[in-house]
Amino acid sequence: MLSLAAFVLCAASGVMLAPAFQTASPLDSLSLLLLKNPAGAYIRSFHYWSAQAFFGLTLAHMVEYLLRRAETRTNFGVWVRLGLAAPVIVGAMLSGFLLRGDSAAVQALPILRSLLGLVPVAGAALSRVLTGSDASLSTIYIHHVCTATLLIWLVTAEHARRLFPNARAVAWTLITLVPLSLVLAPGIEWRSLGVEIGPWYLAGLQEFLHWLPRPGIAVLLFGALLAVLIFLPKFPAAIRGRLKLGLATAALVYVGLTVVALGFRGEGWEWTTPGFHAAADPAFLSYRLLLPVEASLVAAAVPMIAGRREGCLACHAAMTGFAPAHSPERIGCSSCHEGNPFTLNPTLAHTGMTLTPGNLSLANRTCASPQCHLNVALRVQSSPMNTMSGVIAADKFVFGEAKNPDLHFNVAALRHTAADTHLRTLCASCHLGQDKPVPATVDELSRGGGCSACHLSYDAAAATELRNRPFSRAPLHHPQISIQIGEQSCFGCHSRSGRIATNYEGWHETLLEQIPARAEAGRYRVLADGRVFERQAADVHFDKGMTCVDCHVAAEVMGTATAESAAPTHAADAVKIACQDCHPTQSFPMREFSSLDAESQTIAALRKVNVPGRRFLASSSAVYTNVYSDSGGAPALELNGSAWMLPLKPVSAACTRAQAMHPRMECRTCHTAWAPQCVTCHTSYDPAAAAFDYVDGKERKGAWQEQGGDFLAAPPPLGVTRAREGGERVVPFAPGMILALDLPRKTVGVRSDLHRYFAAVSPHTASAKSRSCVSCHADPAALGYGSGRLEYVVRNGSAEWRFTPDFPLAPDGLPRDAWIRFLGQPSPDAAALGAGRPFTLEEQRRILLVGACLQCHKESETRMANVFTHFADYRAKLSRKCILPEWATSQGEVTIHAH
Amino acid sequence: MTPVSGQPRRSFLKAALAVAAAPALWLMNRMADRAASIPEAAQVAVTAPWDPRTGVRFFEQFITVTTESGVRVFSSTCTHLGCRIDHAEDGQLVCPCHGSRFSLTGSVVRGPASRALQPLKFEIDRGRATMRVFLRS
Repeated sequence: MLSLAAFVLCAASGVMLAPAFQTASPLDSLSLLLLKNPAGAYIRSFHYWSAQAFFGLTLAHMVEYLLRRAETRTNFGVWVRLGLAAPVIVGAMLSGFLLRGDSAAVQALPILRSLLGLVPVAGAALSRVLTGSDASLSTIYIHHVCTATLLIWLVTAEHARRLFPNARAVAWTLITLVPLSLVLAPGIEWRSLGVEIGPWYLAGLQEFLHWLPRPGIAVLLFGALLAVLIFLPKFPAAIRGRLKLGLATAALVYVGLTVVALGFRGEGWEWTTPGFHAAADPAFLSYRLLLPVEASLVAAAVPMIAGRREGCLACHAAMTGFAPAHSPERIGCSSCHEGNPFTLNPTLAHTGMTLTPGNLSLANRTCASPQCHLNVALRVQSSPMNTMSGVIAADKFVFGEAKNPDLHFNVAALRHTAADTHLRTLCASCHLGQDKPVPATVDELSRGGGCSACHLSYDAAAATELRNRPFSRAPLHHPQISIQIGEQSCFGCHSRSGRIATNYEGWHETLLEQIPARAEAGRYRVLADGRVFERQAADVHFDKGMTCVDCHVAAEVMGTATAESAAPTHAADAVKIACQDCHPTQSFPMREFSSLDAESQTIAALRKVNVPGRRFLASSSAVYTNVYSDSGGAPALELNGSAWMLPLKPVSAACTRAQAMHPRMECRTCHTAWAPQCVTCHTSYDPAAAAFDYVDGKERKGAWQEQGGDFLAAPPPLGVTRAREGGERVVPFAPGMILALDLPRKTVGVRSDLHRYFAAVSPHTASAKSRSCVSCHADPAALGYGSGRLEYVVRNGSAEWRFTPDFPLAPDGLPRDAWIRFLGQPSPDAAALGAGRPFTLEEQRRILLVGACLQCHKESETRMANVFTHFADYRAKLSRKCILPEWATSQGEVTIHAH
Repeated sequence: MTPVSGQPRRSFLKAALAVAAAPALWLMNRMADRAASIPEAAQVAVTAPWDPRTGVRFFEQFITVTTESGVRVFSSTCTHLGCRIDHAEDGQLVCPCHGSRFSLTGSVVRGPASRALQPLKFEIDRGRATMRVFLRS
């Protein structure tokens, strides 16, 4: 009787809903119902719960019937019709689900059609007759409101022997469902989150289909179970008992599958942490209708944004600060901030809202949802700025946990080894995937934040409003989301480790704890984290007003991995820009806008530089939409954040001549003015101290501590690395790690090891003036011997190089700042982090042979310029004053050639 | 004349109803069949923006996969039960309904789907930076 009451009330509420529902726009009509029609929303909620009650009570009645063995006491014809009504009831429920027209419903329709099509013989006809043959829901609507309702009512009436329930049953049903419908109302699943779970009563079937290689088996199995149910009365009592046991077992298995689907399935139908999946049924999203809505809001306009009603804009339409691409008119609020766009009650609207949608942990639902920037986000996630692969690889190599420093790692997969805890507590805050806990302006202390780390910028009004939180009214100023990237976005992380951000601006980190008294103005700078920096020469590009993104354009910063190429391990592997792109030896490689790739075209359009006739710089590795030419002449670079144009200069004639003599060299080899070099670091572990684990986001016991030693700002040593295009290149190196590492032993005490690894670097201290010849050919630091006095001693007609180091010797016998032994063949241990090696003995001798010449001859002399190309001629006519080192006078032992 | 009892009359009426229902169902199916076979105004080809950069792009009815070895376009319909594939993970196309996984060449990496994604024909107009995808061959 209660079941009949629930059914009749469900049918009545359905009739009341009909005028508000549009089969042509089901989602929109339901959205408007929820947003603007409180009474309609309530009726829908009541319709939903009365249907659930009818379904649940019918199931319970069926079980009770079978337990009481009532199947034999029922007229067989009635029993058959009752059995056939079971799929009709499920169909009525499912059609109600489909009529929501939301993302789950849109996915459920083709599944239903496919399954119906698998019914033997009549499958195609069943699918067409029951669901129609196009995207329209009109056929399903007719069957929902008419066919199914009529059939269920007829069968129920025949079974109950009455058309209507009694007043008592109706009263009890109303007493239960009226408040329930007020407190919990079904919502709308308005977008795909990587997993679609159908209505709860079919979640078990969905899980079953996940495991089944052939879905037709499910159709046959459910058909067989239905046949067993229908023909149950015809079996002898003993077999009937067994069949009922089989049905009960099947039901239990189905319940188990349902629990698995609803509780343990996440994105991509992968296993996930236990918990009721909100996407399983939006009825549990708690749209509490009791919460009030301001009368003025009900009258406010709720615009249609990106195919959905955006209730947020009833309150937030006045917000300013957006760039056009991310304006609320285009993407609304909930695309990024989630929450509930289908209510006008502020509490409910803000439930489930995120304030930091740029975090990569949320990106699959926000910035990187399939409708937005999925591809870009996939690339960004594989970028070394997110994986920290290079940092981890080097660290684990030095800690003896990786066989070589080029293995690929991801910070998200760090465990708890010695190196892992070192990284977790000292390094892991500096990666894009580090979640930003609360909205914040970007400053020197900023870390992580995913997309918003770079793309979110606060103007004064937005920053002021942010400081005045919590808001007493709807905020009016939103930070801008755009491709205008400020230097501050890079500074926080890149002022550490290689310190390229501070190098670039001409600041060198010191060991000072505060600015010395009486220091001249402008010599020192204290960063927000307390580190004191001293003035050095800034990079020439910084002096010209260029910022990081003027060179490091989207093509490399946003990740370079492709579907078929591995994610880069080291940051250097991801760098695409080359000095020659802007300073070519020949003509500038320019291209028309129409020939650029789509992403570059989009960026050019966003920058508003896609002027007709304009040509853009496009090297073989990257397109620079910020470098263009209108007249066909030399292009100019539009400085980031300003309209100032910087004319580009081809490489100078002097460089071309030097390059001819040094074909293995890159621009940075000569034009790097200085590099920070830390030479005596001591890293130890204190098991009693506490440290913050940036991966887990909590304090942990046991802390790694670093004591820095001498920190030099000097021209960097040189070494040899592999070029991207093949072959070898002589480039600057810096001590990646010269440290004493105290590793805790498993038993007692520590094991202290000295590690000496150099790494190829781009210190970002370019100067227009290049290094002198002497600074490489007769400089001990340049050759890797460490700083000191390198003398060319000529005595009694013979000569030799002598070296006196500045630093004392370390336990490995080398000066503390050295890479290799003076005029020695480097040992295999003298490795570099990443691809690279120090100079071989033969290379050292070649360099020092020129250095010997430079003892008397100035580098400006023509003969010094020609010595590389005409060495044999010069050697044949050496004057008696020219005393070469002994190892250079042996016939054929050392030759000078372009290197 | 022998009087006709009520029981045979009811049986006769039930049988007549069943006989009448059969052609009604046949007619209903026939009508639905006809409706489905009428040439639709629906598009057989759609035009979309063309992006030569590598990556996976999801559209309503198709998916484009651009790798260094070329471009592939697949129907976004999962070959298992017809869900729309709108999700990529770990370089694979993932169905949100039952978790079938497809490689970027369309082949099945993990079931329940057993058939590869349907490749679609397409034309690229580089000048206009557009692509025309033919939804039916």
